[in-house]
Amino acid sequence: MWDLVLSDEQAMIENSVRDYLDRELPLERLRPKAAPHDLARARAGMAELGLLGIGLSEAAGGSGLGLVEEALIQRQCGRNLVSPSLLATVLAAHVAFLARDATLARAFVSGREWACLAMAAANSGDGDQCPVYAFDRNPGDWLLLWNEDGMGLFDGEGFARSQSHACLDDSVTLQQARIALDRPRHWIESNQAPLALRAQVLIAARMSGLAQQSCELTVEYAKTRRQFGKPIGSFQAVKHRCADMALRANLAWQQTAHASLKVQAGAHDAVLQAASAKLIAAQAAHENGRAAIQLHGAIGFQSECDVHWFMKRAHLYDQVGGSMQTLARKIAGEPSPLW
Amino acid sequence: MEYREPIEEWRFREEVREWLYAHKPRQPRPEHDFQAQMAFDRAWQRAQFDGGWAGIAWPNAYGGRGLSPVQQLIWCEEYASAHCPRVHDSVWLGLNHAGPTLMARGTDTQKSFHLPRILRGESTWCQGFSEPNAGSDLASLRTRAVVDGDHLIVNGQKTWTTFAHLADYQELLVRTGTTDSRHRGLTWVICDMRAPGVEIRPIEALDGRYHNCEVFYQDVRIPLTNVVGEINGGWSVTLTTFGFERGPAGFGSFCEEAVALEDLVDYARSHPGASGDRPAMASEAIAFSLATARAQAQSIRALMYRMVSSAERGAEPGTEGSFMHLAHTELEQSIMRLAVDIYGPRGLSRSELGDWAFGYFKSFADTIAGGTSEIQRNIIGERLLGLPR
Repeated sequence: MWDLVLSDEQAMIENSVRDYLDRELPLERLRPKAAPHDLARARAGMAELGLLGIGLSEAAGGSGLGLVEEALIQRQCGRNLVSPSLLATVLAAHVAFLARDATLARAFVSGREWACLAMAAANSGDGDQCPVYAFDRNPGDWLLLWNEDGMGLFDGEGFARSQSHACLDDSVTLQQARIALDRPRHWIESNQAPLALRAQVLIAARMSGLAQQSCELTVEYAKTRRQFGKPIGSFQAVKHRCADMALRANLAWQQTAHASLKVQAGAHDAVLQAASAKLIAAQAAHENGRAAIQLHGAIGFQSECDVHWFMKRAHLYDQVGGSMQTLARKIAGEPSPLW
Repeated sequence: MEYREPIEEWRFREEVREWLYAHKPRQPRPEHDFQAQMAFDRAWQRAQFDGGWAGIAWPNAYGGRGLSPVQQLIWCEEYASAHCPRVHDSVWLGLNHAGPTLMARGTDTQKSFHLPRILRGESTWCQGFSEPNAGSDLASLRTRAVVDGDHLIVNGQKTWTTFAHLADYQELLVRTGTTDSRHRGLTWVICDMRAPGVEIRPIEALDGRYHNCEVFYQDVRIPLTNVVGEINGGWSVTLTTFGFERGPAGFGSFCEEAVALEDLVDYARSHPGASGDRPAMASEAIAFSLATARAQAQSIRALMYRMVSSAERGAEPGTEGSFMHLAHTELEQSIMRLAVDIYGPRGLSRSELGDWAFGYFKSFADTIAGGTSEIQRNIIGERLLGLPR
């Protein structure tokens, strides 16, 4: 039986991460006149809380829990728009561990080394130098990059000469450089460990967090904003859209949790479940992001209002680890996922 | 959240599979004749009872197996996979919400009389809630009941009552309080459909069949011992009924929808699409729609597992059922619509379309019955999100 109710320990993890992030990384930090954000402090805090190695074995310096617990944490990170580098570093620790580089794995878990999320910027690359995008990269960060064949860690050497772009999601930085994709520091083949599925589930968790937060902010606003003499949430035109947001966020998370158990157990339908989680969560993040802006009205269009970030971040996660179109093609080709 | 498959669950699933394989009816369910369908369904329910498979999670005392919600779900999954007869319109209501409501709220006498009969396929139920002027606004209903000695005397009218003409008993909701008492003046009572003064008129539905009926009550005498809960306390019993109707009652239906979707995926892979030569699945648009439906179905399956996990911990089904009901009925509608599209011109022939035609038309009822999708959204908005009325 796939038990999808949080255990006491899991609820405790969820609550402590949420409290920590609301205190240390509140959404207000992204507002136009917010005080500069102390990256080193944030990184140290997340490492200290044990967010980076929760799913890694204790031998590797982790907590020995599973993908479900990792997903719980990433969902909370999605709610607070935490940098994708936290997700990349969690995966980087797995890559290093599986590549038997225990020293590097421990360095990721303890927050001494960090990785950033990276992806091929185009399908074409001339020779061994391929254009690669890196999100929120800080000097010295490793690059974590994967495809259907496997997942790898690259040192950021090529990024000494990188080109900066303004990212569609301007809460993260975007740099482009050419790197030799055929020369990773470590590379784990898909048949050795399903890291791409793990990544899909964790990104789905991030996106279900985006969908959840869009919904909560909008519901809160609909309770307080008054027009025609009453809260706008009393009008069905608004209320029903809020209900749809809640349903989408709920289903996105249930499916993410479901997929995390199936990937962990190596179930026959793990591929379909992980892809479904990411597809459903991407739709929820996109649609809730859009609805949040619309239901806030004109204030929703302003940079001081937090909701626009959720629409923007959804685009980023949608592109990493398989876009909705790619995932749909995959899902259509898989065998029956039924019992 | 964890995955564990105790050996007993695995064995139970095997046992269910084997039994269904050996015992499911070999004859197809009669297509047009309701009386013949009813006889077929009752016999099949009786066979399940005799095999020890009726009321898997119902207490032994009422003829059930006394097993867990997980085992009940395993039964639903395997029942759907084995393409067993869909019995939504006869024994279904008693098994899925009249029975569970009695179990939760009924008296010992009511339970020991009705529950075994439901399990044995001897009595079938219908639901007398909606009225001509009380649909979504159920608490405005006007069918009147007054206490006369040890009886209620009922006068009024219900409508859209599914299979009233074939049912033995009815979940009847009547006004016992003042005209303007709304939900505070309602009583939930068991009505014998053969009682004098009950008149039933079937109505033709959009598929040409007679699912729904108008039911008229003229001085119908119902013993007070048939009241479930208290006089004027019927709203809370109704919420119990809705808890089952919108929650666990949907599990079996959802499993059938998930299996139907996989059948449709197989069909689209092996039959030509609109282009005539390549399989329907070769169309990007159809592949995308089927993939999205598959992903949605898995997410609803996850929600169902979560609800069953809660039930395992002893939780009563609550307003969360509105998420389940809304999601699976809307998915059902899109799967059925997709089937009609994938069949292309052939889909215009009802005989070519076969069961899909029935399913497609029925899917329009499913987003209305048990509270419309709009009412489910109100419930989610108001009771779960706390938005003002």
